[in-house]
Formats: sequence, C-alpha cells, structure tokens
Amino acid sequence: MEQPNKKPAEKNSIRRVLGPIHVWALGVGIVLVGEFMGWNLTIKQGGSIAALLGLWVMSMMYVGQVMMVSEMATVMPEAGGQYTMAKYLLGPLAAFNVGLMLVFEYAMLEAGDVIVVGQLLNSLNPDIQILPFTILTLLVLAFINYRGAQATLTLNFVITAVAFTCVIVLLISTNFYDPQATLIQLKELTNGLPYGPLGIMAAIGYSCWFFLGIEGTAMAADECRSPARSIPLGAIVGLSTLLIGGTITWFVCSGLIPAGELGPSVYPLYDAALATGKLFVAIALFVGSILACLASANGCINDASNAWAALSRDTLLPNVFAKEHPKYKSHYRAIIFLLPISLAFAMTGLLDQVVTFSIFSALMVYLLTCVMMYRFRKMYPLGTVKRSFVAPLFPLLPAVVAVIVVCGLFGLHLNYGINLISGAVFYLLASIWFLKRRAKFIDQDRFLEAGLKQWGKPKWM
Amino acid sequence: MNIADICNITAWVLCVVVAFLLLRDFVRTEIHFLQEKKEQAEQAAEQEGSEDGTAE
Repeated sequence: MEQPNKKPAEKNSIRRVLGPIHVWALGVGIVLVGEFMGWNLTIKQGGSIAALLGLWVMSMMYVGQVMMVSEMATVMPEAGGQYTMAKYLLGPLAAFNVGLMLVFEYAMLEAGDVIVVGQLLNSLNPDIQILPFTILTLLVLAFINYRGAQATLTLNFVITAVAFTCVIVLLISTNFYDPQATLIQLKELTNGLPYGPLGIMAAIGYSCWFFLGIEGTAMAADECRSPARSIPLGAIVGLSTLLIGGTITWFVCSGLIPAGELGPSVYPLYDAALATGKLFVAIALFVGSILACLASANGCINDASNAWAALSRDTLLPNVFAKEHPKYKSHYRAIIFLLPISLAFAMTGLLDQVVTFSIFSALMVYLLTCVMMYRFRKMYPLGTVKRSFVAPLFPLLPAVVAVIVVCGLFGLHLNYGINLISGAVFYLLASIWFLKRRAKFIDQDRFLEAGLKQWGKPKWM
Repeated sequence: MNIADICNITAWVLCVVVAFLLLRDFVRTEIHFLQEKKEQAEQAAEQEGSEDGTAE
C-alpha cells in the first residue's frame, strides 16, 4: 500500500532495487485479504450474478485508477500516492481530506481484518471468545509496528503466495473439471439477480473490496529500477492476479454455499472449504485466511500511521505526530493515536459497517483522483514535463472511472445510506476544523518543499 | 475449566501485557524527549548567560 512522504534527503538515498515482481507483491500482498472476507457483501447486496458483474466492472475502474496514478506518481517529486498528488494539484484542503480518507481506509480495513481473525478462532470452538483475540491481534501488530519491525517485503511475498495457493487448492479440491465428481452446484445455489439493476449497482460498490489498495503499487516508483516499466506492469499483473483470484473465489464460494448463507458469511472462503468436507482443504483455508488477515492488518497499521505522520510533517495536522521513535524510528505517536480508533471499530464486531466506511473512503479518494488527472493534464500538458508513463484514452479514461465510482457510491447508499451520510458529515466537519483551526498554521514552504525545488510554485498558489 | 477458558484467559492476560508494554515505552519515550528539551533549554540559557558576561 501507500508509502509515507519521504523527505528529499531520504528520497535521494533510497536504493532502486525493485522490479515488477516486487511491485506485484506490494500490490497483491495486502489486497488479497479481500477474497478471504468482505467481498461476499456483493452477494448480500446484489445477488450472485450481480457480484460477478460488479467484480469485472470494478476491475475496469481499477485499471483506470492504476493508469492515472502511474502517470502522476512517476512525475511527482515525492512518494505518497494520491495524498502527494492532491498536495501539488489541488491544495492543502484537498490534501488534508485525501490523507484523512486514506488513513480511515486503512484503519477500517485493519479493524475488519482483526474482526475476522477473532471470528475464525471462534469457529474452532464456540466457547472461544471473539473479543480478546480481536483486541490481542491488533495490539500485537501495533506493537510490532511500534518496534519498527514491520513485515519485510519477502515475508509479504511468501504470505501472498501461500494465501493464493490456498485458493487454488480449494478450487482443485472441488473437482470442477470433472462433471461427474464436481462439488460445484452453481445452478442450485446461486440466486441470479434478486434485486435487478439496483442490485448490480449495490454490488459494484462492494466489489471494491476485491481490489482495495492496489493503486498503492504506484508508491514504489521511488524504489524501482525502471518505474516506467515496473509500475504499470507490476500493477496490471497484480490486478490480473486479483481478478483471476476473485473470479475463482466467486465460482468456488457460489458453487458450494447457498447464496442466502454466503452473503452474511464472515469468512466465505473458509466456509466454502468446510463445505467440501475435506479436512486438509479446511485447514489450508483456515491458515490462508488467518495469514491474509494478519498480513493485511500489519500493512494497514504501517500505512495508516505513515499517512498520519505525513499529514503532520506537512503541517496539515499538529506536528506532534511526525516525531520518530529515537530507537525504533517508527511513527510511534501516530501508531498509538490511531490504535484506539481501530480498536473501537474492531470491538463492535460489525464487519459490514467497517467495510462500508473503508470502501466509502476509498471511493472518495478515487473520485478525487479523476479530478486530479484532469487538473494534472491542464496544469502540465503532454510535453511540458517529463513523464515515465502516459495514461491512455484521456479525457475519456477519468470520466469512465468517475462514472463507475459514482455508481459504486450510489450502490453503497442503497442499504447503508446512514453510513455514507455519517462518513460525509465526518469529512465535512474535519474540513471545517481544518479551515478554521489548522489552515493558518500551514508552513507553505515545508508543505511543498520537494516540489518547489523541482517545479517552482504550483499553479494553484 | 476447559481449554477454551484457558485460551480466553490467556488472550486477556496477553492483551493487558502487550498494552502495558506499549504504554510503558510510550511514556518513557515522552519523558526522554521532555528531558532532552529541558536540557537543551538549560544549555541555551547557559550560553546566553556566558555571552552576556563576555559582552559586558
């Protein structure tokens, strides 16, 4: 996922060692958890066919996102994803909102991850309480990140490979290739389109969960040997992996579990494994689900705290949060500050609520990315600034992406309208706080330090 | 007491332990920074005092 803003001195000392495979691992590693939990809300909201349609429509949206972010990220003078883009293209208020949305996107995702871990352990024995294990998982991962010992890229790669292999194991165990022996019963267990076109819209919104965060691959631009090749290639291969994995997940789960039970399931792939009746498959998916949740939560704690510290370092938040631990070099204050927020949401146990808030925050960022793309091309037309990658089909691409995002937001509001309104009110109140109480403290030079050296004053100043 | 109860109690105990470790290090780090700030302020005051003395 996203990397923090790096100071120019740090940026110069970063070694360029990453290739497409690393970008792939970065992108897929944290996102893959979406296939183990949360995606099945598409079935609950729209039905079986709507879920599959939503998956493919949302994949097109993400291809567009990756293209746009790849073009803009390789030109930006510092890493930091859409937050950095908002800084240089839209100004401090938009940057504050984008940063805040990214923080809550990750914070809610990590809350969802630990809810699932607790529920998985409870599934082994109903007497095992969910709450202490939910809290313990979050505390241990926060402690690991506090100590500056986040999972290395290699470990993430291994976890990703293991988790993806588990999905393939489940697929093969269904004997789907043998009509006589197959366990898959798509006709009997799926429910088509029970809510019609509105169901498709609802499913589109939640299909975000299959890919949420893959756009973060562009953040590795600083560390790639050849960003122009590695970022788009790694991101597209990552998207393809997730699309194939998502389709297999849909196929297996929809063919093994009735739609009425699949929709509300907390761990759909594990439930599908249990439905095969094969112990080794159930164990594999239990392990895969736990590993995927832990890897995702670990990455989210790291990314959320880095994003919070970046906001603080750029003076959009009080600068107390940017302080690094003297020994571990972690953003320890940001980790401690965000921990109770994630804990509070995790302790509710309401997976659908935290997933909805995470998706809402992400969709708002994607919408702003489309705006930023138009602004970027207007401020810096082709030929005026060196680009390692050029997004195709402009101006159609951001328009199509925006339409899909708006459909997703519309779909979310059908059953979670109150949540969306609450989320919108939250960001509105945060913006008012920012304008009234924080804007006067912004240090413009520090805010755009790297960009001023490279480009001079941006045109919005 | 069955195995589930043991697991639950162990989990709660570990929650308290990890939370304690986190908060303890956080408080120690903040005290460290406060002391550092105090020392820097004292050094700055001493320097100012010696400069005034030299000027006179």
